[in-house]
Amino acid sequence: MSNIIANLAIYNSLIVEAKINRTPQNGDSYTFDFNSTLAKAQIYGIELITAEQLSASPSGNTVIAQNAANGLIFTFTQYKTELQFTQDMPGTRLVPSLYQGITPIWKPRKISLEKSFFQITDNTNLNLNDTVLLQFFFELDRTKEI
Amino acid sequence: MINVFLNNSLLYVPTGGNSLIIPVYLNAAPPVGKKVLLPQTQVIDEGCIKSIESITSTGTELSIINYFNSQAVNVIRENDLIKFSLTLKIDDNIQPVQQLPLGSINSDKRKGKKLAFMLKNINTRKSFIQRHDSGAFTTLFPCVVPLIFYY
Repeated sequence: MSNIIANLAIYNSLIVEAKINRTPQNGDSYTFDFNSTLAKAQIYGIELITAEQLSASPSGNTVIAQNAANGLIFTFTQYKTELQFTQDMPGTRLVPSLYQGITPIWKPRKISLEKSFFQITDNTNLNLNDTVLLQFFFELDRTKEI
Repeated sequence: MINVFLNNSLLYVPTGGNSLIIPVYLNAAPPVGKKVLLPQTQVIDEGCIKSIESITSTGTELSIINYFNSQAVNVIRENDLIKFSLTLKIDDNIQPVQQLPLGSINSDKRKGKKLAFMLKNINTRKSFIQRHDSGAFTTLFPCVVPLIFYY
């Protein structure tokens, strides 16, 4: 029980982004860029940020609208084993404001960000040059690698 | 296939202990990318931050705040709050919380849930909020971005 509680406390957070740089088409996939901090991190919480939380990204791009979250699915890949420990998770489940304020929690693990991706399943509310922001909650080298 | 082995726990912290509002004063709209430093707050620097919430004047949260010397100042509106992120620093090289969207720690948007942090040795004087959106503000200036710290 104490481990579960410890996992709920956030020690570090940062956001990464992937820009939709082609006209959004259903079936398109986008990966995320390598992030040197996250490469060393044990990640245990992930949120999808929409324009309801941040209207423009730190690099100045328009963030996807909240009603675009139901047209995206996310796959996250574990480092080393390359196990896709989360496959095709609906974006709506990663937005707390769409999910009773809840943030999904995973057992802490290293993620291969550049092998994780999202796919467009419904492009209705997506626009060219919109950006998808993910907020990661993590701990640095404080838990054993899984 | 949708995984079912996620542990959908709440990131929730009770409000026991101590809390205070750190008001970030905006005399005018800061330029995009501008870092607006938090006021130095000793009890936060010496304590352990358990949770953080942002407050807006939209809805029923807080419309006016008494800033220093009992000056009544507008609280930022929700559609302007989401132009900002929060970065908390220990020193210039260690930033445990980087660009946390203020809209993602707003209690209304989180349906009353709070994120539970465990942050020690934060240097409030080096921490800042940063504007990312170039859109026009609807909040009248001067205004305050109130951040509730539970510690």
